[in-house]
Amino acid sequence: MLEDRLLLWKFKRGSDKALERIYEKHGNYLITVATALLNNSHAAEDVLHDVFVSFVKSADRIKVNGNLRAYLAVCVANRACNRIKRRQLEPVPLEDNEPIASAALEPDSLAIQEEETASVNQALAQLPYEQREVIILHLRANLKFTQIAVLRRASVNTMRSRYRYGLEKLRSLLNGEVIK
Amino acid sequence: MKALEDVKHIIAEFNVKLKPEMRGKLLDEALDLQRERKQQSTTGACAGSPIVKHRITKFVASAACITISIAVCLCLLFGRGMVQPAYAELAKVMKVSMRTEWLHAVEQEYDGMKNGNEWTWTKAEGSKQEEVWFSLQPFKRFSKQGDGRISLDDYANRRGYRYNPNSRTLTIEYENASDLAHEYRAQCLRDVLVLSAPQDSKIVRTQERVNEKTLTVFQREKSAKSYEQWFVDPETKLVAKYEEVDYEDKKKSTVTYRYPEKGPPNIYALGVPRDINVINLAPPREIETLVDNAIAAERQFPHAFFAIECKLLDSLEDSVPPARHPWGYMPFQEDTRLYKVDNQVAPVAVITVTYRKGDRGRRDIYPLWISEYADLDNYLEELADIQKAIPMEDKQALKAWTQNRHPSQIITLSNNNAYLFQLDRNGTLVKRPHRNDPRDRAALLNYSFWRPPNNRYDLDHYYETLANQAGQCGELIGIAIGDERYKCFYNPERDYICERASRESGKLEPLHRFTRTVLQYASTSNGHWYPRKTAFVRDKASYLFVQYIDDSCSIDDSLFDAHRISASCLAPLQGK
Repeated sequence: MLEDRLLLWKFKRGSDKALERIYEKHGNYLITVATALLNNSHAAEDVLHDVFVSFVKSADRIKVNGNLRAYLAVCVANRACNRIKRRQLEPVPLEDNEPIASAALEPDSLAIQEEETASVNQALAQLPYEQREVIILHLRANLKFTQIAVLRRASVNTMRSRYRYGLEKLRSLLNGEVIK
Repeated sequence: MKALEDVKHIIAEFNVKLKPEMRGKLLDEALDLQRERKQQSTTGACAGSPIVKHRITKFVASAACITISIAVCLCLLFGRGMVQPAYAELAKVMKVSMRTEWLHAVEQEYDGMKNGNEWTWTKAEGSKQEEVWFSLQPFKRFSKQGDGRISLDDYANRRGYRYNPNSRTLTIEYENASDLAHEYRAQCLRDVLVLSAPQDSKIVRTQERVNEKTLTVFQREKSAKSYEQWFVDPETKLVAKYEEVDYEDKKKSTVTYRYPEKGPPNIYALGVPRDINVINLAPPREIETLVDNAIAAERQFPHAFFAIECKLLDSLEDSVPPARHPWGYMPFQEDTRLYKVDNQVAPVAVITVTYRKGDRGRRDIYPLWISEYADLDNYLEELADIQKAIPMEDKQALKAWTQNRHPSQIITLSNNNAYLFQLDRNGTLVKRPHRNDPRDRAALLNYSFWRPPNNRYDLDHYYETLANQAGQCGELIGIAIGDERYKCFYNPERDYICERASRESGKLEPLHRFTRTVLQYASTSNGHWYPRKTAFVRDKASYLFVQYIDDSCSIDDSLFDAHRISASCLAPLQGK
């Protein structure tokens, strides 16, 4: 938090190094969120690209009241949502998608977790986008329900419902239950 | 069977890494855009709207400076709204904090768990402590990140030290400071103290017993389930702790503060190994000195003057490039036809009258246009007529020329409010706020278009000393700055004016390449040098700037009064 505030200030004043550091610090986090939302690594890269281009272009107008990471995550979510809406996302067979790697460090657990994440990835892809979005933004992007509600111009209760139904559906899918 | 908690855990642990090629490409493009953003400011500066930023000022601790800082802090913290008593009291913390020798801040994040009505907080899993040591005197900021990076911003010495534990390198960089140093220092301190409440927020003042001491607590509700608090020691009036709690998110972050008399002596004291590679990217001190001299000379230029400047499209070769311009674009030619760019045609000549008095400024702009969609022959014919019609060689005649006409645009700056006036298609006066950030204010107030654009001061990239060249009087000292090798040759005999400047890197679009040469100097009544004639070449179009500056005439205060500007003061804006 302390560093981000200074970085943003420097970036707005034209510091290339501050921009580099922001990218280094949050790039992986943002590509993770974008990939999880879109379930397509190429589209996620495009979104991240657009977000950073827009971030630089609108540097003079940016106002970040909360933390910078959440601000960028919201930008990613908006771009991803627009992409889905515009149906620009070409359907990509799930097996062609780059598997989402686990952050686990130990090799023995890595294999198990990779399998798990692959199946979660597949299950996520079967959720309606609205549910997938709130799950990813809350659990992985660490956005609050209130932030997601503002983003989607809906009530917090709606967000909570989507989250709850989505998670339940996800659990059922992962356990091989039939989704009605 | 997977439980919900397992699913949540797996999603929370998702992690994708940027591919190295993607990383490089994306970052390069973002950096290019960042530089383009700066260049656009630069382009405006070339064409008569100098934007000066990244000025380097020495850090001078003075009572006046501190007073301004507090004013800025109050302004930024509270906006223009009414200041509440608790707000005002909290703001005093800034004032007191500015007097401390050192400030040591430690940030820690916690995860919360609710048991009944009680919350217990444990250090967040994977969270890493962040530490900052900050001092206004000397103006330094040490930072130790959770990922092991350690940095020192030594603003007074304009050096930044960055330790990267992954590459085991210590990089020394040029550290820019702003000419708004008081604002910058206040911003740095406010960042560390997390004092950035929006202007409409309400702060409640209470008291709380912490470690057998009663502290004043200023609390701001961020939402129904989150708040932030500043714990202030009533004796010292200093912040002891900042806390942000979010019950919905089950997160808490705290920043605890100490105010030691001494800070770390150097970056090694924070754990940087002494045997690592040191990469020194900072420019030699002689380059900094040269730039300092140029800035000092610029600052000595009078703050009250009348100036009249004529910018004329001088010649065109082969084709007309779509040159960006503050008022639009040059038309461009293709197959002998002329086209507009972005539905705008730029004027071929612009006469600008500028008045400055202290912190107030005014610009009257008289653009001259070629007929829209003229073919090339007509275009060149009309251009020749315009060139002949403007009495560039005679100050009085040029002044009389403007007095016999109305400007198409007027820009005023007073009390930090800048407005642009012009007529709409129906002839109605349109007044709109002009871009009004500190750089634009500087642009309006510092009448010095002949100065190189702001990236002259941007020494944090590539730099190189060039072989001196013979100038119009004496030797010119040359340096190249930035990735685009922006070359400047300064004339020490003429107030360090940049006599020759160019940006010609093949990496740049033709639009961004230019050369500028002072052809003739003149001196004001008070002995300040300025260029009387300057040639400016961008791609295949060349312009001639002629200007006259009078720093001994009286400037009427009413000129800056925006209320006095009516539709009858303006001529229709053609060409758009």
